[in-house]
Parts: sequence; C-alpha cells; structure tokens
Amino acid sequence: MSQRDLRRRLARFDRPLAGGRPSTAADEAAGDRRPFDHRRAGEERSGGEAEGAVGRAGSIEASLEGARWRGRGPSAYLRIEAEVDRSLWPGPPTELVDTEIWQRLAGGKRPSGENWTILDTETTGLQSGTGTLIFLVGLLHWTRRGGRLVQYLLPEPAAEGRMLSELWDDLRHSDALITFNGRSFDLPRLRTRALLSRLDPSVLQRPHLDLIHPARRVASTWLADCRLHRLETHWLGRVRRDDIPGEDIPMVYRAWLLDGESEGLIRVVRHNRRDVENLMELTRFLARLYGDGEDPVELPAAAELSLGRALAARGRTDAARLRFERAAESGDGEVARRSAAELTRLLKRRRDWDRVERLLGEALQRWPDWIWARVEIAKILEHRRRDIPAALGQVESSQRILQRRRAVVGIDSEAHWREALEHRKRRLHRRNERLKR
Amino acid sequence: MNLDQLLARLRGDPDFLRNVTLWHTLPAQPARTVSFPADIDPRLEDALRRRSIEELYTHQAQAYEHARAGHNTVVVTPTASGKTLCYNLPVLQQCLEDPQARALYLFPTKALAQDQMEELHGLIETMGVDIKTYTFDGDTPAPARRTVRSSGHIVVTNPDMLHQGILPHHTGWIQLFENLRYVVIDEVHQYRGVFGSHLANVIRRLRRICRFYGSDPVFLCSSATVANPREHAGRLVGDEVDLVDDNGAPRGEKHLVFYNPPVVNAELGIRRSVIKEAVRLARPFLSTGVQVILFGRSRLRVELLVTYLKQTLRALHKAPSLARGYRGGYLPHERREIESGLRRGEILAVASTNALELGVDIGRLDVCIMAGYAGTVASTWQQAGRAGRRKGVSIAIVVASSNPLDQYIIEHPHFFLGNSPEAAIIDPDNLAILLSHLKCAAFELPFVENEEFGDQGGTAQILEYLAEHGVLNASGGKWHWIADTYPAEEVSLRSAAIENVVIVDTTAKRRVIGETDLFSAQLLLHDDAIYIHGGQQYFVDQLDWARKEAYVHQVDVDYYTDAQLKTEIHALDALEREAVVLGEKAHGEIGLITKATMFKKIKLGSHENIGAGKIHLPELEHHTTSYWWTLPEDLDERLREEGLDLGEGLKGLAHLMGRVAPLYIMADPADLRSVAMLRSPFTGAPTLFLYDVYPGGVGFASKLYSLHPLLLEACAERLEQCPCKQGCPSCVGSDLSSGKRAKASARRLLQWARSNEARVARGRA
Repeated sequence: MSQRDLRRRLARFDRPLAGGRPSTAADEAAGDRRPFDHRRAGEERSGGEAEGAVGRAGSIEASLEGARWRGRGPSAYLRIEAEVDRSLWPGPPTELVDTEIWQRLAGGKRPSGENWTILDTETTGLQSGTGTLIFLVGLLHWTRRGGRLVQYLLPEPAAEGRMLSELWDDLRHSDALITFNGRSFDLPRLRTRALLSRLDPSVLQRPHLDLIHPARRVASTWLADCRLHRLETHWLGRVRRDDIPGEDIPMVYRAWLLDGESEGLIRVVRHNRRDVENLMELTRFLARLYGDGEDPVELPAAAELSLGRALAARGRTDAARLRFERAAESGDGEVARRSAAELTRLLKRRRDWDRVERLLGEALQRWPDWIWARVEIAKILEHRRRDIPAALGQVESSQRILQRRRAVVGIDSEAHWREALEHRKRRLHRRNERLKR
Repeated sequence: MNLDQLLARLRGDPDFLRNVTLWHTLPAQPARTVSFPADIDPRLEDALRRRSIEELYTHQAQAYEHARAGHNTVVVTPTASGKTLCYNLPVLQQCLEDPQARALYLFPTKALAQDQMEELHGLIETMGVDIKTYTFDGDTPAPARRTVRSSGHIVVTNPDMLHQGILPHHTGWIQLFENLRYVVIDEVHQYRGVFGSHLANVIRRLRRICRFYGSDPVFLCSSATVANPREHAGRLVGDEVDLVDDNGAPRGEKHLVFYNPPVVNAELGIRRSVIKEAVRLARPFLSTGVQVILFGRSRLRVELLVTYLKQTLRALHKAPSLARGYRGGYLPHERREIESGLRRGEILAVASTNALELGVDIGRLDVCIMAGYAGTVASTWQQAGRAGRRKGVSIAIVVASSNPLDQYIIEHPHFFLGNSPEAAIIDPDNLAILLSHLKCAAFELPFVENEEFGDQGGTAQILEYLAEHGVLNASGGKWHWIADTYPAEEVSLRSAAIENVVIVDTTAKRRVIGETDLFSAQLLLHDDAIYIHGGQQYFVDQLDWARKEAYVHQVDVDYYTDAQLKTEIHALDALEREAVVLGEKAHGEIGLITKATMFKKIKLGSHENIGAGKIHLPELEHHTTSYWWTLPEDLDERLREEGLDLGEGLKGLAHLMGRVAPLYIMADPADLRSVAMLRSPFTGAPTLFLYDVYPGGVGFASKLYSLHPLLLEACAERLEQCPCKQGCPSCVGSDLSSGKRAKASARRLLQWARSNEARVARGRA
C-alpha cells in the first residue's frame, strides 16, 4: 500500500484521536506540517545559531537566567540554577522541623542529615501508567547554609535518560525529600520513568515528608479543596500573578514540541520554580501549625478540631488537648460539641475522671439533650461513684429526651440509642436490686 | 422414567421421528492413558494421585511434552476432557523447579477465571507448596493489588484487564514480566473477529514488554474444534504453534438429533415456532426432573424461552422459579447465583445465550436443546457438550429455525458431520484496531527507530502520522507518547463501540439492571420499546442519548417490539476486484450510516403485528470493510422480459446470502450484514453488499471475496430445497418484505451467475 493510501485510511479510522485534534480534510491536505525536527535542532543547537527550532530552544536559554545546556545533540537538556532569595530562606531545615515536628507531620523518625530536597515535577498529563512523561523537575536543595534551586528541563523527550541520571546523582546526596502529593504523584512517576531508562528506583526510597497529608487534615474542614494554590492564598498570603494553570501545562509542552511555542514553556518553568519555593514556605507554615508555639494564622474552630485529631492520632495528646479546648470554647454548635466529645475521650484515656465529669457537666449545661454525654455521665456514676440511682436517673432522662424527639420528628431515627438505653436501664435495675439485697 | 427410557420412547415416536433429519449416536469411548512423565516433580505427581488421577490422558502427556520443550502449543479437545491439566501441569512443574518463575492465565470472562482459580488452588493446596495464585480483575480490591503484582506466581486475569490494567502499568509488574515463563490462553476459538483481532494486538504489546524485561514466554492455548486451530492460535500469539488434538479422554454415549419443526403453511413456508418447539421437546424431560439446558441465539429468544418454560412448569405443577435465564446484560452476582443453582440441582431448566457455552462451571447436565442452530459447527459441539457425562447417556437436540442457515444445516447433516469447514478469522492488522493498539504500545514503551508493530509494515508511517497530530514526539531515534490521555481506556476489546448505555429501572427506586452497546441500544432501548430482562418486561420511558442512559419501568404486556434499521453505504474504496461469470466481485472499505427508524409491536404467542411507532435517534456512523457483487446494468431489462424483477431478486439474494455466509466463516450472523442496492452510488450498477459490522472489519470481507462461487452454490441449493412458493424467511425472505417475485428472480440471477447464459444474455442486449 502506498504511503498516501495509508495516510488517507489512517485519517478515516482515527476520528476519535487520542488527545489530538480531530483530523479533518484540511489536515490531510496539509501534508507539509512537520513535528519539531529533532535532528536539525540537535545539530544546530550545539552551533548556537538562532534559527528555526534551535532559535526557539535558544530563546528559552536566553530568557532563563542560570540556564545551561547539558550534553549535545537531541539528548541535551537544560539545567537551570539559581540561589534562593535570602529573604525567603527560613533557616536550616533541621531547626525548623525538629524531631518532634517531623514526627507530627510525617510520622516516623527524622533523618539526621541536613541536606534536604524539595521536589516537584511537571508532566505531560495526570494519567497514571508508564506513558506520562516528566519534562521538568524542580529541586530546592535546602541546607544549613541556604537554598539552591535547580531545575531540569527536557526540550525533547530524548534527553530523559541522561536528565534522570543526573537527577539520581542529586537525590543520592539528599537526606530527606519534601513534596506536595509526591507519595501518590511525583515519586511513582519518577520510579516508572527511571525503570524505562533502566535506572535503579531505590534511590527514591529515602525519608519523605509529603506535605499534602498534614495540610489536608487541617484544610479539609476549612477550605474548599487542598490544592497548593488555595493553600498559598489562604495560608501563605501569596497570590501568583501571570501564573499558568496546572491543567494547561501538558498542552503547553505539547505546543512547544509541535510548534516550538516557547513562551508558555518559560511560564511553566517559572510556575515550577514558584511551586518549590512555596513548598519551603508551606513547610514552615505547617511546622508552626503543628507546633506548640503561636499559630501562624487564626484558625477557625473546625480547623482546630481537625488539627487536634491529627495530633491525637500521632499520640501527641497534650498538643491535641489544647486544640480541642480551643475548638470547644470558640466554636459554636456542632464543632464545639464534637470537640467536647474528643476532649472527653482524651481525658478518659488518661483516666482524669474528675475533669471528665466536670467537662460532661458543663457540656450538659450547654446541650441538655445530648444523649451521648448523659450516657457517659451515667457510666461514671455507675462505675466510679457507684451511685446507681443517679446513673438510672441519667438514663431515664435520656429516654424521655428520645421520646420527645421522636414525637417531634415523627420517625424513629435513633433506634440504636433506644436499644442501648433500654439495655443499660435493665442492667442498672438488676444491679440496683442486687445492691438492695 | 429415566433418561434411557425417555430416549427409547422418543425413538419409537413417529410424530417426533417424522421431523428428524439426523439421529447421530456417538458411541461411548474408553480412556487412552499413559503414565506420568519421568521428569515430573514427585510432589505434583503425589498431589494428582491423591486427587484420583493415576495416569494422564494421551493428549495431556503430549501437551506437557511440547510445553516443556518450550514450544507454543494449542490443545484442541471437546468440553470436559481434562484440558486444564494440559497447561496446569507444565506451569506447576515450572513453578516447583524455579520459585521465581511466573505464569499469566487469560480467560475470556471473569467467571471462567474464577472457576479456574478454584481448580488451581485445590491442586496447590494438595501439594502443600507455596505457589501463590491470584485473580486480577476489576473486582480485585486496591490493597490486594500490590500483593498480586509483587508476589503472584500465577496471575489469572482476562484480556481486558491485561489491556487496560496491567500492560500500561508494566513497571508495577516487574516481577511478573522479568520472570514470565508461560502465558495460558484458554478457549482461543472465542477470540475471533473483532475480539480476536484486538487480543492479537494485546499479545503483541505483551511480547514487546517481555522483550524489554528480557523474558520470552511460551504460549499454551486451548481451543474447541475449528478448521484452523493451529493457524488461528499462531496468528493470535504471533508465532509458530504446535497442535495437540488427539483426545484421550473417555466419553459416555451421546445422541445428537437434528429436528426440523413441521411445516404449518407450505405456501408461505412457515414452520412451527422454533421457541415453542424447543420448549415442547423439553417438557417430558422436565416432568421427570431431568435437568435441561436450552440455548437461544439472541437475548430476545432467551427471554421468550424463559417465559414459555415458566408456563410449562406451571402446567406441570412445578414452581416457575425452577426455570432461569442466563445471558450477557445480567449482573455478575445474578449469574453466580444461577451457576451455583445449576450445580446444586436447584434449577431444573436454564435458557442461555452462548454465554454458557464457555466452560463456566455449572456441573454436567443430561439434555441440551438448541432453539436454533448455534451458528457454527464449533459452537454447536460446545453447546452440545453441556450435556454429557463421562459415563452414562446424554442427548443434544438441534431445533432448526426458519433462518436459511438453520435450514441449510438441517438439510445437510453431512455438511455438519464432515470436517469442520469453519475457520476462525481474525485480522490483527485491521488498521483501526492496529492503530489503537499502536497508541497503547507507544504509551507503554517509546518506539525505537525501525521497530515494527504488526505484520504489514508501515509502522514508521503510522508513528509519523501520530507525531503530526501531537500524540507522539520523535526525538533521538525514539517516539515518545506526549498526549494527555490514557489510550487503553479508549479502546474496548469486545466491540468497536467505546460507549455503553446503562439501563436504569425506575419502578421502585433507581436501580441499574444492566448495560448494552450503542448499536444494540438503538434497536433494543429506543423510547417506547419493550425491553426484556430476566423474563421481566420493561417499558422504555426514555433513552437519554446524551447521557447514555435508558430509563425503564416494569410492565406486563402481551407484546414485544422489533426495531427496523436503515443502513446507508457511501464512500467506497475497492482493495481488490475481479470479473466473475456475472458482473464483478470486489472487497474494500466502505462508510456506513445506520439509523433505527421505526419499530413494530408484535403480539406474544401469535406473533401478529399489532402496531408500530417511530424512533427518533441520531445516526451512527462508522467505516468498515465489505465484500460486494456488482451485476450488469442491463439485467433489469432482461428480467423484466421474463416478468421478473431485479429489485426483488437482489433483496431476496441479500437476505439469503447474508444468512448462508456463516457456513464458511466463524461469524455470528450479527457480525455480518447484507444490503442490496439497485443502483449503488459508487459502482453505478446493481450491487449486493455483505459487510462486516465492526469498524475496519476483521477479515470477513476478503474471505467472502475468495469464497464467492461457493457462496452462490450454497445459495442456489438452499433456494431449490426450500418448499415455499414465493419466498419465505428460510430462503429469500417473506414475500411481504422481499416481494412476490423475489424467489423466482433470485433463482434466475443465480442461474445466470453460475452459467454462461448471462454472457449470452449480455451479448444480446
């Protein structure tokens, strides 16, 4: 079959073209449309002539301070290096994130070394699977002395293997990784692409602080979502101007490859640079938020509550108690009530019965119809004070509350409570009888 | 009364025998066995002995030898001949020798995979060794997937999961791909047409990834009887394959009966309804409590069978719930429940589409009744194989419908009993299919310069084409995927249609009861259609084409609906053409537009037409391949001189040819359609098209092109033997649809096409 026939048939059968534009008769006619010509680009690039595709590649180099070519020919890539603005640098990472804070943010033991690396990648898509290409990697080497920003950019996919192998050298010298959603996104994709280039993926197995988890725990009850941009705006007070939306990035890279459109690509490089810088800032923010000092921002009660839960889950009960207390005081309605419940559970675990009782008493002042609190009080009266009649009194008043609620609502939506109370009442009655005898 | 007595009674029943065209008895056959191979691990041998397997059947031993020698192998044996041991044996032996070794099992359906798991687990447990066997399919929970990926010795999955869930994530399966020694493909005859063409490409991708990881697995296949098992398996796996087809398993006595329902109206060629006859024949078995399986070709036929079976059971004072339906479109848990009900004997009768033809474990039944010829010799034997045990007698009855193919087969039992003439056809190089898998392959691993994908060459051109469209990027001698999509997601192996319509029952609260592809949806789920599911009728309130959802509610009415399809053919491209005795034959690519236009309401029982309605749905458009036969323009005049009509003759021939063609190719009648055009815009002459339903076609067109004279021969024979006068559904179609002169005109056309008379006629004109 002739080449022309094959092309015509391809256009016919490929209407739902994956990710591409739909082919049209005009496309078929435009036989001279050619993708970015890597061979020409490679040859001329080393010569540095500002013409055609190379001119465009050259224009990136010129627009980005600190950009240097690594290698020659089609497998050349750009390494862009800059010192981090001293005003941004928050101090040595190990001082900011001490052992305790690491434990609270990431769990586990903090690495002792002081060379930490913030990492963020830009890819040709959000798909999982092997075909998603990483075309830009931003690193912020955060050390005792300051910060150094390194970015690796692939003008063409062919340079991937060499770029990754330099990245691997960088990572080998790193004591800890900090990412935003790296556990689910950046690292699995790096691992996959490394395997395709026959590099050892075990380099990625090092202490890792993925900021999205501690951030999400607090943000989930507070902000509409937990995207980095939203956190930057609300927490760091930073608004990006002239930024490129993340979802456009794959398209921009494709436009670069297809048509040599460099302007967008330069914006992606800047976007990535802001990402890693802001992650350093976010680390500082979260370290303070999870610490015991003054809060970096005023937290709404709901956020205090979820932060308390996060700390409690890491076994930080004192820090958690503080959060619950604040949430119970400042919050109203449901948040305050749930905080009081969390606080009660915490104190119960510490067997601080006096405070539990006081807390529950106060709670019932505020929410007299709160069955759970009444039952908790009944338990204390029964087991600790051994005041069975008083316990029975709490159970019976709970039952009255239930009955009343049922009459108002018209349906029996609290059957579990009804059964539990009935059961408890029977038991208390039996016990009462025994005591009388 | 037991089965022997029931059979004896049928044999002495003249009313029954009058309609029987074949009573074929397969005598009981003893087993042929050999002792265990010398190199077999004692633990494996011991486990087999403990499961009462003292020796191997001859074909099992042969399969083992081929597999151990590193040869790709296809084993062809009937149902229940111990075929699973043919591949389990070499695989387990390998795992015992090398704990690193891995194997991948592919089954066409999840249900089969689950059955297989139980068998493997049993054997491994008996051995008491640590060979981890896992299923990996859509139901595997996320936490378990990691375990399967890293430590499964034997991974049991289906082609769809391999295609969408494993290959695009191969870096997560390094253990498997680096150590893959065997790939088992069960039931390869199922992978024909579009499904097979897709699978062949999935296997190309699999082998490509294996090469990357340095492995080169051996393929072990099993197949039912087809004309070309070795060739077919070879095309599927893209390599040479050894054939093992000497069955050593024992078999009980088996009866195969062809039954043609009596003619009730000779004038119109009308026979008694195939469905009612099938159920009537099932009755004596049901009344004595013998389990019966009935097969119907379409979903509709299955649902009607269930309806009538329930009526019969009621008449026999048995619970109607003893009869169940089974087909695609039922939800998995429903199917599992029916399967176990059959095994436990709680279900007396099941009516199924070919869904139960596969090796799903439902135990062994005594009686199989096929309501209509199964479409292929292979399918018929597979379905008949559902009845029959290793010992004892069984019977399978084929009840013919009025379809020309059924009538041909029932009149020509020798054709059926002779060598299987049907070839399993696939076309892995179908451009549409090849292209979609080439994209998937590029996503999985960058293509390198001069790398070929497929057997037709042209890979570089396709890669360039994709690069121009921004899907790939060429740099440094490699082609990288750069699109923001996951190509495997856009390719469905089972059909050309990417999208399905979900069926929502709104009777009580919204409940999804099934789904179907777009093409079927326009026929079955249009507004006001009666959709039958599980013997329950549903009225379709609305088919929301944009959301791909159909809203239905339960009803109880005395009719069903039958939709009419309008087909347009345009834009043709002939790949080959050749003058034949009459006119010219050709095959090539066509553009097709289909549209459901109207539907008829047909009364249950009497099958009379009781109303109609319009269907308002958009057209569906696609490209495919077709075989066509162009007739000389002057025929119109010649026929008119004899008082005949070209239009009617062509229409009748299209009806006949479309239904007789599956005699020679393993196509479902639904895979192939025929259209007659009095004046085709492309050829400018009277033309008859037989086209492949699937986009791009899967090889039927070129095969039919080469079969042209045979096809005409079979059509002529069928026409002569049909007792009707003016045409009936069993030959050229009823005179209502094809016209009163259809039969005579078609006969004349066939005469000319098979002699030189036509040339003379043309010369004169």
